[in-house]
Amino acid sequence: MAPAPCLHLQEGSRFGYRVGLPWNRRPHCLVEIPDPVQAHPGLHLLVAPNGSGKTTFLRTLAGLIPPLAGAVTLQAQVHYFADELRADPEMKPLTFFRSWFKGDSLTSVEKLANSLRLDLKCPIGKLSRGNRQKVLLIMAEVKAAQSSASLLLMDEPLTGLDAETREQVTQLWAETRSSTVRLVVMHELECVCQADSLFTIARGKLRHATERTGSTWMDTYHTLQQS
Amino acid sequence: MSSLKNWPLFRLSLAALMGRGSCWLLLVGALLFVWIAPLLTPWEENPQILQPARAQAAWVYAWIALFTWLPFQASALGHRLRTEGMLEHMRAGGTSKVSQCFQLSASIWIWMVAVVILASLVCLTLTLPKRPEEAKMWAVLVLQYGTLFSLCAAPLLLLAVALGTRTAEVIAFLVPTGLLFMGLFGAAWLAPVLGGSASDVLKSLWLALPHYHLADLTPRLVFKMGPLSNADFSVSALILGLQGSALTILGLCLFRTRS
Repeated sequence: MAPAPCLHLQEGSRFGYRVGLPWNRRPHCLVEIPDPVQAHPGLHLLVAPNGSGKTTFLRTLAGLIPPLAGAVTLQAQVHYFADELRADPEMKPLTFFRSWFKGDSLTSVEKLANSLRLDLKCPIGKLSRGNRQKVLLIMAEVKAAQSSASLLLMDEPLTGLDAETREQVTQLWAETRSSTVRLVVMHELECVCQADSLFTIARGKLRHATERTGSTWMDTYHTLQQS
Repeated sequence: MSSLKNWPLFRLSLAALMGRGSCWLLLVGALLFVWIAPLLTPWEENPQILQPARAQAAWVYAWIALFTWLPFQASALGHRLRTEGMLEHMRAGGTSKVSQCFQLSASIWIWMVAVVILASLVCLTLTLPKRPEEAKMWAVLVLQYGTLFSLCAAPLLLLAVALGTRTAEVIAFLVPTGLLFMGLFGAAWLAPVLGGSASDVLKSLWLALPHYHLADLTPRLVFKMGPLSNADFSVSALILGLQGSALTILGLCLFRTRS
């Protein structure tokens, strides 16, 4: 049996990027890890103010930027869904999915599209913002299901979705929490009740809460920001 | 068994090109050009010129495609997939930059090969000489032409894709077409100045310039000069192969995934 997916961040790790000319690069740290962090399968929220380094943090976890110091240990197949990720607007969702999947996965795509009410035959460019987002969400779910240990890094995946679809998607996440570590950047915390932990970046330091303080994750976020 | 397809970026790019439809116009255009262009010659006075004119039109169309549609689509494809974030998504998933670059390039190479096959088919069907010994020489020449053309075109298209992922589409289009123009036409102008010079610097510069004129065998087809000798063909293929390898390495170094 494959080991469960896991994300481990070493204490003292520093995330950011290097600025300046190629012969005179200086590190510009955005996020420090004061305590070791482990994330196991489940839904983990990443909530932080704009410009605090959420995307840089995700990109480092995805292996697209090397950490400035320390190390990230991943036991999973990484799937990174950036905020700006888009599918070709000229293409139909069905053609898009057929480029990626075959067999059972394609059947899963069709089932998911049906339950999320996505028209697979309408060109992506003619779909509404929310429906375009559904294309990427379906791709994320089916890709994650391909591997016994997946790490899904998603930057604001629920943007543009209506309340009913958001509920459906978060319900789907809850159902598949045993095999996938989902780290999701979100601003709409009211639609997520079943998260397993919350990450935030407060004054350049990563804070992690595995239990809610208060009645909602928003209360937890405020507590972490003020601590 | 995995239900993920191999080379998804290639499939995605190919589907995008086929969905846009201009690739079909490229192929239909080849047939129309081969049919119409020779009719603009004074063929009624001498119908014998129709046969070489058709062969010439087929290969001129292939060069025109290499100056226009092919590098344009290559640069646009590289640029679009990078700005859409798809390359970064693949990179995070473990697909190397080299694999990505080859997947994107392969989706363009297919159309380049299609144009070469069409030109070769025109030469081997509509314009094939009747005498068996001439027909054999003609077929060998067409095969040599297709090989040299592909050796010239494939690295240029990879460079266009790679530049598309790094710069604006217009630059990614103009650099390979500029190199092609220099290699095809510039060589004739620069040969007396650089090639015949006593200076080692100028001679080295001449060697470093692209020599795509070696791939243009149209005059041999038109004037029925027969195929290149094995030695000449090998030297031409070696020069184009080495220059193509240098361009391929440059393209792989320039390829960028960051959106």
